[in-house]
Amino acid sequence: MMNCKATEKLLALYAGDDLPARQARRVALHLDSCPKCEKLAGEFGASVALSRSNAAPEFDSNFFDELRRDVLTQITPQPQTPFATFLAHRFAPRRMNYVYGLALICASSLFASYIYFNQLHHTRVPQNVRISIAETLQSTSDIDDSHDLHTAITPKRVGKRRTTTAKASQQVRQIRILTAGSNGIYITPRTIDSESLLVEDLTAMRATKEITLSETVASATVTDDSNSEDRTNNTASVESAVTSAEMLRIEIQTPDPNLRIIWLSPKTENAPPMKTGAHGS
Amino acid sequence: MTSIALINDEASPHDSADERRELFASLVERVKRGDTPAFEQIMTFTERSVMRTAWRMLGTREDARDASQETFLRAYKYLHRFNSRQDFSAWLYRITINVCLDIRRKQEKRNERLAPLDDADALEDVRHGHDEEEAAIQRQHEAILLQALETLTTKERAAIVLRDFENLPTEEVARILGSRPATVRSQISAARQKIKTYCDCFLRRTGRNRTSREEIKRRR
Repeated sequence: MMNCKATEKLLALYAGDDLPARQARRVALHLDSCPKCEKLAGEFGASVALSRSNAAPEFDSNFFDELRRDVLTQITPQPQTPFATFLAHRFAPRRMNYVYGLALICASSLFASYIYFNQLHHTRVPQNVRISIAETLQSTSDIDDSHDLHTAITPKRVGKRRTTTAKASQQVRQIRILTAGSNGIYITPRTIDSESLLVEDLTAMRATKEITLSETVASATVTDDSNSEDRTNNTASVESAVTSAEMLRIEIQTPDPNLRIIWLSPKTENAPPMKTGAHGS
Repeated sequence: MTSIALINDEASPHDSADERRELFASLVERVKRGDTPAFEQIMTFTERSVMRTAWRMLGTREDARDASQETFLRAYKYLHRFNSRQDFSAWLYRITINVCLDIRRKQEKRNERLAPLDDADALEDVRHGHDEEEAAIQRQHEAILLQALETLTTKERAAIVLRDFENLPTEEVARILGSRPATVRSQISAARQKIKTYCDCFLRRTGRNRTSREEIKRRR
């Protein structure tokens, strides 16, 4: 036999006749012997009866006529004027999809063409130029494989200063810097260790006038292990370069006389032709 | 499948469930072929039940009207998905409940739910067939019940509206709501407890809280 607690849980469903027959019989059996639960069942019954007997609100026929009219107005296709029909047909969403797609393809093609030709006519300054002799040797079978030279010429911008650093390994025999209007600077590192040569981009230097000649010479002097007389010559060459330089050219001569690495700065418009003077190799 | 008496009694001469189903199947086929007056006929048969359910779910006349309109528009839009072997009434009930839940969600998001009691007076001018005192009591009951319904969760409300106010079997309610019968029974039980708690005060005052077990047995 069910107790009061279990019965109370089922009374809501019992009052609405929502219990299976077996469970309903067990609840009824308990209610026969429990006046408290019977009273509660009566209250639930009244509540359910109130809900079920509650007459549905009645709305007059005009209300439903209006409702029907509103719905039918929205679902009935409206007759259109010839012009509206033409516009609807002409600019139908499905048709417009093709137009939009075509326009998108054209715009993409134009943009790609613009980027391509822009790239073609504007030579960008290489951010990092690395020249590996090892790679060159692989394609040149008649050159001795003993040259182990790695150089890196890196133009970079630090604030308004543009500097070009040429790094070379011990196999470098000579580094030559050529500018327009001069025969260039000859620097011959005697030390065996890897050296770094700082060369100001003379074109930029002349434009900004921020880097003094002495700094350039000092930089060159650090890596140049030649005597003081050579240093004077270097200074003269650089001065000459600064006044007329439009272009920078760096040549790195390897021990192999047939192998020279040449790096050219980007061309500037109306630049005078480069003087290719004699070079010691 | 258990038939649902969604069709208005006065609007349809068809009594048996099979005849109703055939009637709706033929009307739906006509609508699918582009016969708009057939849809008007469907609306005539079902509009009162849809409106009644929407009113119970939403509590105000204006919301119920919007919900009914949206229900029929949605039914027309998705009529091509309706399978003639299905029960049209159950299908329409499902749309009605979903539309009402959507409206409630929007209102709750905008925090613009109206107190249902404010709407009770709106029924006065449309009620007929009662004398003045009886009509006043009836209005009071409706107001109390609508307020009690407001205390329920949306799922409990949908379940109790279909079960107790529309008198649908629990299995059919479960099918309409897409739940298991056991889940629906649990929701109905919780809803009845809440409604009883809310109505107790009112029932005690009117002396209607004594329904004998004999009456329950008689209903069974």
